[in-house]
Amino acid sequence: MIPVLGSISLSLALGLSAISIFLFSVFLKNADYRFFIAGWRGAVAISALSILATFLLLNELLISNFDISYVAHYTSIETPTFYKITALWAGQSGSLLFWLFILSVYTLIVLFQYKNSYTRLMPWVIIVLVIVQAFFLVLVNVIENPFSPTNADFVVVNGNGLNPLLQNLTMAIHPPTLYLGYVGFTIPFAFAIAALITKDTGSVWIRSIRRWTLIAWLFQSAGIILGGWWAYQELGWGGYWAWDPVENASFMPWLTGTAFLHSIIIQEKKGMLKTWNMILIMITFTLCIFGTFLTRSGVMSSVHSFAVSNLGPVFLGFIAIILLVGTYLVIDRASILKSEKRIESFTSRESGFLFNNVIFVVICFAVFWGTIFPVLSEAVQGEKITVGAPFFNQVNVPIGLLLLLFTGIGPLLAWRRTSKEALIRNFTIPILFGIAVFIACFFLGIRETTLISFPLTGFVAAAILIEFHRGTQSRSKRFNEPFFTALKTLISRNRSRYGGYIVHLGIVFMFIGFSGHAFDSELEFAMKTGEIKEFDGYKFELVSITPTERPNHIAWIAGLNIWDQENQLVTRLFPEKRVYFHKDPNPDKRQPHSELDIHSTLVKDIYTIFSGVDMEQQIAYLKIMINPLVWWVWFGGYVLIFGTMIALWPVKEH
Amino acid sequence: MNQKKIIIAVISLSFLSFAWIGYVTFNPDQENPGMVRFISLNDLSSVTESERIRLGGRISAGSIQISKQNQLECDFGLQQGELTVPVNFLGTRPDLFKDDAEVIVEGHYVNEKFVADQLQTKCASRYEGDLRDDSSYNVESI
Amino acid sequence: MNLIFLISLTSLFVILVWYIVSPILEGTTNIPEQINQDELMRKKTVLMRQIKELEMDHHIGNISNEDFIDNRNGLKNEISKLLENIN
Repeated sequence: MIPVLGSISLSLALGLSAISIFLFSVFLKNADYRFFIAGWRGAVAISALSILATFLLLNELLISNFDISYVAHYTSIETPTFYKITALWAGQSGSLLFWLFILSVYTLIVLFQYKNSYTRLMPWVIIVLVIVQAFFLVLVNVIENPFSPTNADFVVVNGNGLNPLLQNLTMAIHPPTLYLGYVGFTIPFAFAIAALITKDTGSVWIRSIRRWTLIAWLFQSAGIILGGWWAYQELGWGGYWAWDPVENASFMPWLTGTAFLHSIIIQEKKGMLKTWNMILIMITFTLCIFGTFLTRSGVMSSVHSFAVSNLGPVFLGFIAIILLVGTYLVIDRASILKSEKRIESFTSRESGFLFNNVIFVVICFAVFWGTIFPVLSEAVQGEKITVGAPFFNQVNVPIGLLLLLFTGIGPLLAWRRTSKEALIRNFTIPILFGIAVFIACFFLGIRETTLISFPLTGFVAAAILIEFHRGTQSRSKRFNEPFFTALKTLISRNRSRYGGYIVHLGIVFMFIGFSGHAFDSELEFAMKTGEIKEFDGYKFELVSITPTERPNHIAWIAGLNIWDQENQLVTRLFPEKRVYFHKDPNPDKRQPHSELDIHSTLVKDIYTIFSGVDMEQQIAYLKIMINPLVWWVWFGGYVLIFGTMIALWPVKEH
Repeated sequence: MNQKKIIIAVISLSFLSFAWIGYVTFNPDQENPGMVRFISLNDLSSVTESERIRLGGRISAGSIQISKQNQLECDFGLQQGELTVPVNFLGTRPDLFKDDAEVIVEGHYVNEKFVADQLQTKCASRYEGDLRDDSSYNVESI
Repeated sequence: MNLIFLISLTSLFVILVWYIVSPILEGTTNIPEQINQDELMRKKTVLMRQIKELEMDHHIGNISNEDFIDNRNGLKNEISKLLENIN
């Protein structure tokens, strides 16, 4: 019964979306407020039904109703309850429903939060949101119904179970976090379209939109960082970012979204870059849809994607419609998007923002180009060319460093123009600090890219600290406050600005971590118990190989002692070789897995992978990597999230 | 007046960046290229020794031989339909490396033998199993 | 079982239809005055905040004196115009 109810809810919601749009069009034509309320209620009902359907599917997953194909595919009786819940987004149709679920939750918040405001804008905002909901409703109703029954002529007693790689806390949080980001960009997009249609480019809604964008951005950032963390901890190739198509898909809207967050400040304060902002938010939303498409359609072979399906044309059609309507609106409304002021000087905050925007978009294009190049080359030359990490690194390192430079310069510039005295006053210390780092790096023997990146991080960090210092000084002079009180009130009274600077600081830390990649080293070898191998200033001693049986797998645990040159014990590591489903009669169904172990410090990580075992001869095949400065990537991630939270924290009205 | 200069600067910056992207696309780093041709076994004969390429296929059953001297080195046959090419690989073998597994290898084609330094296996199919496939369930037909 | 299911389904449907249609039958045609007032208040808050941020920028030295005075006067004018319309 319940699956039927789920299907019916989804169909009802799809039907209601047409009705709701009709009611709004009556309101827009006759300005009869009753129809606005009716349409608004229709939108509430669509969201409520979609949320209901999601909970119904969740219920089926929890009670293990294997008559539903989705439940049988992604869970089994043995799957722990927690992972039965996460199975909701483990497969294609479930994750599409989950997208719709998040959009519905966001939509409900918008509906209730702004019910009595933006009277001109709101009907259109809701219409756009309902259209996006309708798109996903079509997908889950017609193409990928999560409630469709198991197609088997026997009784399914147990399901497939969830991939053990995904049975991991990080992996349970990563997809929903990223989804909250992807979906969140729908709201600023809806406002932008509504503003274009109603020709309202005022500054009031922009402030609401900045918060919404920041919320989406927070989740997108956290999702990307969590994904990298998971890859580093679980996948065992020693890195956190592989420029995999699906990783790129999440990175592209992040880039344009970040650009949008910056340039919208100029629109709010100066009334400039209106056209540009509209284009940016449309591109960001399109990239979110494109990202969902890449992840869920399997056009790109990737560790993330599911089996190839017929979602392609529908998604591409939707993207084409967004782009066509968007382009039409921007061209048609060009006159109201004119800037109120002009940029007057290179050394102005405005031009700083402009250059930073250009660089974000260029990086986004480079990533896009590399991602679709295999498809393009196959279509044009009939030859598939795969694009790997070296391409993306080679292209993006110089552009990324330029972006880092602008992160430092921008905040030091004044609005409109910066006087010579101010330039000298603001830039002297950061530049001197950058030069000092350069000299130190040079004498430490650091060369090539890192000889540029480290001084740059020094320059930017100094610039940010100076910003905090300047603000605090001005406060403590004005209100005669002690330094730390002034710093505290400075941040709490100007959350978005100083939260933003904390985010910049996080980015600086992450760049320190990225730079460490240049010094990575690795060694693969086989060793017997009792043997010692020297590598990169450490001695690795294989003490033991211990077989252990656990509920759903067997594991061989390698006991490694790691000594430094002075024969002091640095750490003990226990990487494992596991085989999941080891009792399965079919050997092809058993799944080997290497559980790695990491010793992490501020300076470097010792990363050990137990890739194979020969118990008869007591031989372990090991791969050891020394990854300097990786710790800073995660630390920078925490700082970034912390800074965003400060920026988002609501300001008390006085 | 200045606005014009700034616009020119922005345009030239983006132009430079696109030129840079194009340059990297068509002049890849020779030692560690980011762009690698994905080749079918049919076209293998036309490949020069110096070019880094990728091959995809299935490990032919029973062909895996692990070197006696170095446990990390192995030879196997890579099969694509009727065609098979001998592959030599030095490195850690992935968890799913076994007979009939689908793999992608990257390296150089030298003297009728493919010397690979990278090897990836395709993801486990267990979780995308065909519903009609009894073995993907614990099934009791009634 | 089937009957209960059918009844609950029908009632769900009826509730939905009533929920959406009822405002058309009983609501008011015009946009309530309160909404316009709220919107003006919201606008006022935003403008006040913009003035605060402007003052902040000025104190750090991110904006020149003349620009500061110009912009602040502009914002103040906007607020006083708004206040005329707020009851």
